[in-house]
Amino acid sequence: MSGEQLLRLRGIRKSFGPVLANDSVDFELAAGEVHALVGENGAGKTTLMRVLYGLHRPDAGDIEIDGAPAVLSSPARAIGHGIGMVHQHFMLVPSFTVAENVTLGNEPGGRVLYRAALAARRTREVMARLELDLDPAAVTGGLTVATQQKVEILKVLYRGARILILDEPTAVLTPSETRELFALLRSLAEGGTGVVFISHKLPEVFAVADRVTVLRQGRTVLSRRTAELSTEAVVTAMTGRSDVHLGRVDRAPVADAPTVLLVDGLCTDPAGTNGGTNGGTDCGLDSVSLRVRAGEIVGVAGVDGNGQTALAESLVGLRAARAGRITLNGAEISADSVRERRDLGLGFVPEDRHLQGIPLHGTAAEGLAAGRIRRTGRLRLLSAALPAAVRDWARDTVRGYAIAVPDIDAACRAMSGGNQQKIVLARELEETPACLVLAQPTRGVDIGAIEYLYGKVAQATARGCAVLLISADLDEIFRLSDRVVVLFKGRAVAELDTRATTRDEVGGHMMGLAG
Amino acid sequence: MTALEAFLASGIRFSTPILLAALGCLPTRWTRDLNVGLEGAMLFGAFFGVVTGYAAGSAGVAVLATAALGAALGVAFGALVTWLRASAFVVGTALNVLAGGLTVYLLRSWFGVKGAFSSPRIPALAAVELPGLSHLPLLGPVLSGQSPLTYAAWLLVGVLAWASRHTVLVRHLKAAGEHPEALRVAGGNVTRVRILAQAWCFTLCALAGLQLSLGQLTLFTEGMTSGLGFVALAVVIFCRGSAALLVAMSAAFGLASALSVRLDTAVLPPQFAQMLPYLVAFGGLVVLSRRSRVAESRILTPTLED
Amino acid sequence: MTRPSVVALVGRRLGRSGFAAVVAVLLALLLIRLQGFAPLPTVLAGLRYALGDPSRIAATFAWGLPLLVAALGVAQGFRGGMFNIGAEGQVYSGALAAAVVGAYLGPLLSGLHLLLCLLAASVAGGAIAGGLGWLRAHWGVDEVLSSLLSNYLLILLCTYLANGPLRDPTRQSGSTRNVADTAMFPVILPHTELTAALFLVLALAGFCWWLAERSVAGYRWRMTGASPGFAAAVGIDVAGARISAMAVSGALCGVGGALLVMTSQGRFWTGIGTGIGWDAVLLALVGRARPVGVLAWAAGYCVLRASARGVEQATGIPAELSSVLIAVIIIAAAARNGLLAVLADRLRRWGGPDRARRRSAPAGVRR
Repeated sequence: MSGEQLLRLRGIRKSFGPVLANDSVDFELAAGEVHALVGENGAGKTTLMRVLYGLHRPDAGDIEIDGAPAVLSSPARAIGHGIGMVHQHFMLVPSFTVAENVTLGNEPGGRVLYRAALAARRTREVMARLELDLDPAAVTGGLTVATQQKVEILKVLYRGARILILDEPTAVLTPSETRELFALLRSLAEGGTGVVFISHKLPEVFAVADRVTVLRQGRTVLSRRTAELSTEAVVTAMTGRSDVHLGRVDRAPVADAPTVLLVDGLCTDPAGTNGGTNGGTDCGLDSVSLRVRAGEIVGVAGVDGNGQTALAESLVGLRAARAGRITLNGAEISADSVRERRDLGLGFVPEDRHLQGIPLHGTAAEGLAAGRIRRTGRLRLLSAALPAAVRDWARDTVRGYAIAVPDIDAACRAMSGGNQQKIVLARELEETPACLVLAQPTRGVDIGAIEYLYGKVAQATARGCAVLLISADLDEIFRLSDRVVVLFKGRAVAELDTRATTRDEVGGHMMGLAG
Repeated sequence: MTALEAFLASGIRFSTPILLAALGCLPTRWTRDLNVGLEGAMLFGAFFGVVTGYAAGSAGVAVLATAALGAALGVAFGALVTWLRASAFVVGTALNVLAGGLTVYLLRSWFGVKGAFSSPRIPALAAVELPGLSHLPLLGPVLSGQSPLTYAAWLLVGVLAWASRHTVLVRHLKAAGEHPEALRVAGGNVTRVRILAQAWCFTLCALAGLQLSLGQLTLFTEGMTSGLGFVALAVVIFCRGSAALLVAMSAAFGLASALSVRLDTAVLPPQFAQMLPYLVAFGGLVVLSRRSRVAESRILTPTLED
Repeated sequence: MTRPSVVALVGRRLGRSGFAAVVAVLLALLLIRLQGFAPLPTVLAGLRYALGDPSRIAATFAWGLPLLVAALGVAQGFRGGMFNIGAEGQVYSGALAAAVVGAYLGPLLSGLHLLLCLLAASVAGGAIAGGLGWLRAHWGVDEVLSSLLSNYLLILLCTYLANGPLRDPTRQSGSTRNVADTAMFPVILPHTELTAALFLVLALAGFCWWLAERSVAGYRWRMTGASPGFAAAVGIDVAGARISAMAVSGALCGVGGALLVMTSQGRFWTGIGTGIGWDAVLLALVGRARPVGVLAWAAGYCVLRASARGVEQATGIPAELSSVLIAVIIIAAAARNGLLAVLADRLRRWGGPDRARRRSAPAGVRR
């Protein structure tokens, strides 16, 4: 580790309208160092890195690279200074080949003609440096998410990056893929590259980083070597609270309870995922069966794209299944519409909050009252959708769930992720569902709101609600569920008791390795 | 020339404006920037071609001037839509109304006529005889003797097909449409590339309009494009990027138009004959929509929000 | 106050309509000057023609009643996420349907006859647009293109009918028979063209507002239009909402066409449309599909149209001036926000870097 200072950000200030994302942030990076940038959602980590990459112009502050001041007015300039970024949502064109994506913007052979063969050769040269073996002519859209991430890294190294920024890289990886990535980062660091890696998952931070910088509400709160820190200290710095509990959520044990949701041999066709970290494809389901009892939480684990979206959509009625049966409290709902299933007591918290959970261009009241409006009879189409009674109920609900909005007519677009998700959950829980399907419920939600949401879900199960929790976050599955079903390539390959298994065992099933 | 040869020749002639407009539209399909203002661009081209031809007495000058006008319009439209973030749908629709109104306004102000403008001084696009080809039995009279813009269109089909695979610019166009952030992050200039695509689109659409007004009869009629721009839009959207399908659909439309002109009024009322090309376009739209339920078909997504 | 803030403040006060109005006036003055006439007196003459005395005002807005209804119809469709650009064709169809019922269904009780004509027109327009909506909902046929093409098909069909089976034998060219007197709206202001249709239109406008903004049906349309994923996830029948939005849109456009026949023309003839369908689309777009906005812009457009006619009477400048102006106004309105943002950004950067540097180095810190 050479240790000279590669990068220095000082007093960076950036606001978007009334929102101050970065408030005089300082950050330093040494050559050969793996430096973790940590903080809750909305703390300003991504903004800071986008400033570094030239995507945003800071309102104030300086940037120094190799000791000399640098003005990073565009990504091209940042690339010229040796900065490369691997984004959370991949910057890959799905229909291009690997070579086309890697060489985009810096095509070998000049700016006029595109030389496919030359591009393939150059791509292979970079792959050799990392000991990777991919086909440069493979279409990027068809690759797995972990492989696409490697293509992103290739892209960055092809441009000669000495400073590598990774934004939440492990959100889409299984435990063993995460270990592979970290080994790669270590070897790059040993070669003199400086690595910045943004995360909110602390175990990983402690596994790979040399230094940690914590941001909270746009300010630098802590910046020290990981060896000198404890997990609690970092959590306290991130949240400003010392009472955050990261273990298993307390719930009453489940005695002999009736089966609420029964899924038998469900098969669907493949299709695209909704939202998620990358618009990839989701393979369909291949004869999946499971059962959820009253008061129970069953987790569904798996890497994004292995059937989770198909499962959620076919349970809720957004997608027709090819075969199989779904039963809710004894009544078969396999052929019912979304409306009919909801009327029978099925609730749904969708994985893409912005596209499906809330009306992004609507108000909080419109998002909350959807259930009550749904139940309006056919003859009352012309009556008011939000009469005074419903508005009063909405106000009470906002207060009851501690949703931070100025009033019920506030636009959903302006709310934080946590508040938006609270609206979704409030709406669903207010209908006292018999069965609740949660898909990635805490993606993009900060720790305080996460705690609150878990508490509400626990309350619902105490009242007898059956919960199916579909999540790519293993920590969440282990904190909340009683049992876990693992999906791999559309099949339920394992069903384990969460108290009796380990993350590594589940992770192995997620990769398709026999237990 | 036999009746069949005359029919096929006029089919090719009718397909040229659609082919030109569709070829112009193709790069904007790559950049996912399709707009409904094609009608307006074609109408402007038709009008401007007649006016400049009348003023300069030369069809060549008319072609150059119209192409320049198209490029300028395209750059202006591109700037409005990228830089100033105006809704492409709103600006395109307004452009169509502007073209309709401005052409009539200028027609009356400059020439004092209403409805149509015709004059012996307006030069026609000279038909080009292809030596060697005109001797072939069926193909000869059909393929030879077409307008220079027709041959230019055929050439452009090949050029675009080659460029699609072998140029960096087209890579960037496709990236700008499919994943603009990726291009931006790689250091490319998304705005410049989108404006370039619009300039190309409007240039070819203006020339398509010129083919209409100077190609066979040398006159300008109010609203003479009557939906051809929209038909070209349909062709581009449903060819799904395939050059072969684009040419085939343009040819189908051209033949339907030729048929509609030749149908005896005793057999079919004139209005039904005139409906034929639009029915072909509509039918093609429906058939191809059923075959490909891809999100692509919503390419023209207009938006009301700022 | 810093410079960027002043620009932003003025810009915001001016609003889209204000900005557009300024552009319109400047452009009008310029075009008139180019024709060789004195700009300001000419514009004033035009405005006097449009709004000079009560009978003129009545004429100006009476012209706009069919347009307003069609624009409300297109706006309803937009709200449901359906872009019904086939307004022109639906206007023609509604006009023909109303003319046929008005002429061939002998003199009836006046109120009943009016109702039947309007019903026929709304069924004609609604069925066509509903069909296009069905194609979109079930076969994925983009309604923008299908409705665009349908315009030409419908206009040709109506032209054929008016020149053929439904032609008035006493006239030379394509026109249907005159409708019975009981199928015409009575004039309410003597010596003007303002008819009782005014009350109908105002009632329709109010109904459209209630429908779109407050009713349950409107909630379903708005959610389907602006957030279709959300609508599907909460159980709204998205396909049904799309079809019904189109059907209502088409019905209103049909009624707009019927009003053309029943308030002024008295019959259907092949030139009856005069492009109000295209104008309706423009007005619905620029009014952001809100009934109040559409009403305001439609009123403004009526004044513009009438003023242009006045200018033509006074100076001979073609009345198409109004089409040119409205198109430019709408482009200006669409570009206004972006323009202000670019200006504000430029000014900030021009005045900015020095301030930024001064702010970032607090007192006493050495580089």
